[in-house]
Amino acid sequence: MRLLCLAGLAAGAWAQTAAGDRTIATEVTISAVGFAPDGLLAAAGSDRQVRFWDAASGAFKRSVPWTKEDGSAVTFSPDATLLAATGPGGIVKVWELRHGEMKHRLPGHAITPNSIAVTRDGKQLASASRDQSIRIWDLPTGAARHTLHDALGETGRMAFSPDGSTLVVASNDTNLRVWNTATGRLIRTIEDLKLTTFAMDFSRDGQWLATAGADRTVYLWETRTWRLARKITGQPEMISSLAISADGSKVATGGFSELTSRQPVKLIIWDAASGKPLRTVDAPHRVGGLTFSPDGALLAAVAGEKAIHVWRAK
Amino acid sequence: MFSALTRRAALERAIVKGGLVAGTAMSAGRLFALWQKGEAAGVKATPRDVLGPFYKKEAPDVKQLHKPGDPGFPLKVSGRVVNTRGEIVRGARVDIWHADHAGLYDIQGYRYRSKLTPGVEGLYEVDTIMPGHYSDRPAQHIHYLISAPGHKTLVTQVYFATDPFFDGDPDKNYTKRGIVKERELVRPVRLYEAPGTPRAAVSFDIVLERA
Ligand SMILES: [Fe+2]
Repeated sequence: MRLLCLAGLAAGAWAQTAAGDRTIATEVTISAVGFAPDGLLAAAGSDRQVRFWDAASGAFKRSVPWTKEDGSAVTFSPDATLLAATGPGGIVKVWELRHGEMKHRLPGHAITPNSIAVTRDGKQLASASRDQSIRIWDLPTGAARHTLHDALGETGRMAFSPDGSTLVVASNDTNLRVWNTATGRLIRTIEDLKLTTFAMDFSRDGQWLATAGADRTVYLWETRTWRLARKITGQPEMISSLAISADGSKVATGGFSELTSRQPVKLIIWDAASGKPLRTVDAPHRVGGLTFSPDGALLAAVAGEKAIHVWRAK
Repeated sequence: MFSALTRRAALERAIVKGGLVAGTAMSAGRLFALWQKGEAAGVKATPRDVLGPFYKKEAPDVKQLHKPGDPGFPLKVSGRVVNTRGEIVRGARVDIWHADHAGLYDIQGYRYRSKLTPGVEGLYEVDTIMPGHYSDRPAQHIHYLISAPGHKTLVTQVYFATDPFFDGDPDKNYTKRGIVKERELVRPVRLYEAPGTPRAAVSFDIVLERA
């Protein structure tokens, strides 16, 4: 009985607003959120549990174990069937969440990676470290495929194209580098930006890449030519997180204040075609890990250390 | 190239003529040994530090980073750009940026940002204010990105021995919270009085590795 109560507490209490938005107060620090198949919302918590809720009703479904390390980078694969996290000794670990087992331990980096990304099909993982390398791993086998040289060793965000053929890397030198993941060759360096990119997402058809960061602007790049097509402005803060809906019609951005990560910020859902804001809501803290549900109806993020936010996106 | 013997003879002549003076009572042989040791060591390259997320490209080449009336303690930062052989580095560009008195970086514009061209002697100098503290990295610091033809690009930072963050003892406390990795990047601060107002000065020489 006591065990049940504890499980209930740690699973998080859902609170719903009139607008249909939900906040899950979790009692544990949340590192990442994702939408899994069958309408589940997944969250990786500091108590070494990945929890799954029914995203529509808020009903707690199940949890599987993982290992949280201090200061590690944590990310779900786009369909939240895998969880990847970095650990001490430069190791990247990958868990398969259906059965809750650790699938891979990927050693090789001299310094623990600070950024990781997984392809949509879950077959490739990229890890970037201050050892000035980015490694691309083959996930079915766990084999290291390419080691890419990173300019100044300070990679922030990385994004794979939906087909996994390219990896875009945002560095603190403010450049975006586009890599061919099959050959390990640098295809292009985009040097147009004066400030660093903190967030990126590809459209599902792979034709667009949206980037945003310190200068509060969303840049939409046409991936065939890597030319800048449009900008969206209006976010009052620096942009820490960005997602494109599956149908490509919406872009969501979340802000953060450079003065303190504890200041309230805005979450804005934009019409991708017109660049007009469709919905603006207050978020209590820095918004991280923004992700749309597969049907585009919901938008989830980590906003504050011990809470998950689920906003209505339609 | 000089042989060790002719070098020794030249040095001994310098000692006799007063061109090389021992700091304490020291034999000529000991002085020569010390000189040789110093030459073999060369000049140590400046330690690296992180670039951080707030670098901004295309800063103007300006010597004065603050505007009159800006809050903050007036600070002069200067030094030379040399390489590990002690040679003046030609064609260097020194990108400098730091937070304002409140701990905020100028994102919209270029306040407290400059991309300097050192002078013929490799000297650079800026007039600015002491950077503020910000919550994510609570030690005052100035960021540097230095590039020069034929040399490795260096990314580093300068910290201040007077920063309350070091609790008055940077030798003991410089590793606090894992922010500062190298003691030598915490620089002494010299206080002086310039036309009626107190000012601080920090010297920071930059030693680049050859590519
Ligand atoms: Fe900084």
